[in-house]
Amino acid sequence: MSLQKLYIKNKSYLSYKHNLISVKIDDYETTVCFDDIDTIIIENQQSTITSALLSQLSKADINVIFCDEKFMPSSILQGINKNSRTTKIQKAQIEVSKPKLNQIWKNIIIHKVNNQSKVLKKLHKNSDYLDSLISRITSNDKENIEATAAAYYFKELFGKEFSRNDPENINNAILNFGYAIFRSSICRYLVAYGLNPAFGIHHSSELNAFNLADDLIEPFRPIVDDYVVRNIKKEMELNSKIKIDLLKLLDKTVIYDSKNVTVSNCMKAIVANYQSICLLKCEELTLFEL
Amino acid sequence: MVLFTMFDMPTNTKKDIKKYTKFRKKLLEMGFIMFQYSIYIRFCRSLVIAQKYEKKIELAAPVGGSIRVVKITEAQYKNMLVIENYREKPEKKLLKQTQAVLVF
Repeated sequence: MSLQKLYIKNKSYLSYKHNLISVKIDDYETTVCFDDIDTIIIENQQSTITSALLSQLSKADINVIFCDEKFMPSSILQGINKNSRTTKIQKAQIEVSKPKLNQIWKNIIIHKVNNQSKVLKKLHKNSDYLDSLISRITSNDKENIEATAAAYYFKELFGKEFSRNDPENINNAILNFGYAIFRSSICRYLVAYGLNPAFGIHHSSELNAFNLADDLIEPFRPIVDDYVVRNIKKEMELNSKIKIDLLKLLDKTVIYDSKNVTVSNCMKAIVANYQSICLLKCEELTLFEL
Repeated sequence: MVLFTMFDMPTNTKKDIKKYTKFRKKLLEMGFIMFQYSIYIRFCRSLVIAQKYEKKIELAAPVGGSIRVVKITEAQYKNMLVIENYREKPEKKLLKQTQAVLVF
């Protein structure tokens, strides 16, 4: 079993008390130790959270997600100065050479498309086209194979009518929720390792404060896709059971460096790996396989 | 794994009491819950983690107390015979901690 996820669904009062988070629901109090917590998702709009708890949570590297009135993730908790060498690491991060970033991006896309094709294979769908695309991926993915692959892949998964830009589609809502959990989890590790999430590998949008998280999440996306295809039927709604399942995806085992690790630990390892690339301690970004 | 910590400590002088409260607070910080008077338990995800907390207790142990730490599997814990449970049920709290996602 891995670290726990807390999912605050009912009106509750969250406070801090010697290294524990205490959750009060109408006089009934439960305490959970910080050492055991990985992610907290606060979905309820009426919950109260104390400032002491907020500051301690950010100190303890815990991923906290707050939801808006539509119950979709709207904000995350990010600490400052979590790493004693933050400035040094961020300087190094900005100075990583362009060719190296291009190579890393190529590697990320190869793994992403590879994972996508694995998801299709598991569902006994046709993945030959994706496999043929992998060999065409060049440095920095100049031909934008990523987009070509994604277009084919989503149509293959959810049918010809499917579009990722359709807000009405239940699949999109669930995919977005799952991606948001993964993204915030990566962000937490980035800050803990002293990296700046704004300076990405390939994503360089001026409007996005989490470019690097969006880069590193790419190979992880198929995990959420796989879940959605298997479990979501047309007439379903995004209910708490699905959200709990999405949180459990962080415990899924993947193969990293020929070892079985959970997704959450794998994210941590990849972020640590990227940090050492920035500090010129290692060359290659090792990624995982489904 | 369920980690049981049982201790006896002298409480004759003010100094002793201070030592005792300090130790008790450390236990609570580690995530132990009071099971009965001077018996504290904690649910641990794996043997490795249970051993980690054993070491932590060893470091936090004050001079002049006697502490015993026992590891019990969940199966054994579930078979516990409870007679006259008049205090709040720590069993409930512990069962909660064994789920992957805690829903409140």
